[in-house]
Amino acid sequence: MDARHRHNITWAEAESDTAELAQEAYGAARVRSNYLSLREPELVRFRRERADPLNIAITSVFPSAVFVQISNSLAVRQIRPRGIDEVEIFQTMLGYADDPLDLTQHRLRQANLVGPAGLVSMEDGEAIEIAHRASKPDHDSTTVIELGGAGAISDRDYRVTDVPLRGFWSYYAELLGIEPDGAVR
Amino acid sequence: MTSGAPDGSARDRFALYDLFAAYGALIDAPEFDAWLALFAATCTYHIVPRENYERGLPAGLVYCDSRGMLEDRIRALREANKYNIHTDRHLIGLPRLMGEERDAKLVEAPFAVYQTDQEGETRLFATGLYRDRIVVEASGLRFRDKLVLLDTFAVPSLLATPL
Repeated sequence: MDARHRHNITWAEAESDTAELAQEAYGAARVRSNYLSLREPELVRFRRERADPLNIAITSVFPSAVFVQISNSLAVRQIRPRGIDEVEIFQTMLGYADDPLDLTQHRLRQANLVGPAGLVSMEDGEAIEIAHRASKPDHDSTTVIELGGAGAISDRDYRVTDVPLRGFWSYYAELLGIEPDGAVR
Repeated sequence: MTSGAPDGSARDRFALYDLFAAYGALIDAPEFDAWLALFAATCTYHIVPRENYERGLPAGLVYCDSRGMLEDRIRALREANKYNIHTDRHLIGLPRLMGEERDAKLVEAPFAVYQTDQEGETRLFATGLYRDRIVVEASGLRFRDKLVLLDTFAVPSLLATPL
């Protein structure tokens, strides 16, 4: 995150762990990772394009822009509020003008991972809607979901975290002058 | 007969109608193995918003340029993906024979898909046009290339089950 925690980058490096390490990390969460395989493994093959090993780099810029690299698929997302309870996400998939044809093909295939029909991301919108529905039934009381926990807003060295969301809302509250006393920034 | 459209025997036309009737019914059932069997041994399946298609932009919402990728999609749907539990209802208009390209028939058909959620709400989920290349295999007519052209890029929340 930046110093004011408005923006954030979430990233991962290719081949930074082994199958054994992954098994160890996810085994406790009862994630079974050893019984499914793809007929077309190209879908998840990462072609290194730069000197760095990043195969995921998602840059969120306050308040509504996201620059996405997931494996070799590249996209810009624009988040547009449509009302108090609805947002729309525009996703523009990108390639470079001088990409070889097979790389363009690869990017198009890996676009299957993202977006509303994305093999990785299709449930993201649904998850947000479920949380939204679950938190709004009581009109005469307040629902609190400590997404990202409590305490200092600070970087994590793992990706399974919602702390940057707190940074977003902290700055949002500051801009709108609705920051409560003693709020964490 | 529309001028310019190639003639076909009544039997050929009914075979075409049967194919589209089975296509929608098997998604709604859902019987995805039987649905996959309606595709040729070598096939493609793409879902593309009309806006992209008309500008010649190739990015799609679903992009399967091989049968393996389509099979992976169905496997993921069954075993890996989380999505809203719902039932689908396909209403597919009469297929229109547009011409022939080597061994394939070029066929278009309009469609609408309604979804019903667990709270009992039925809503229109998508409308569009199938633009297909259909070939004859030993087992009958099969989709070789299926292009699902959505009338709009805006997908409500998520697209999990095939269109």
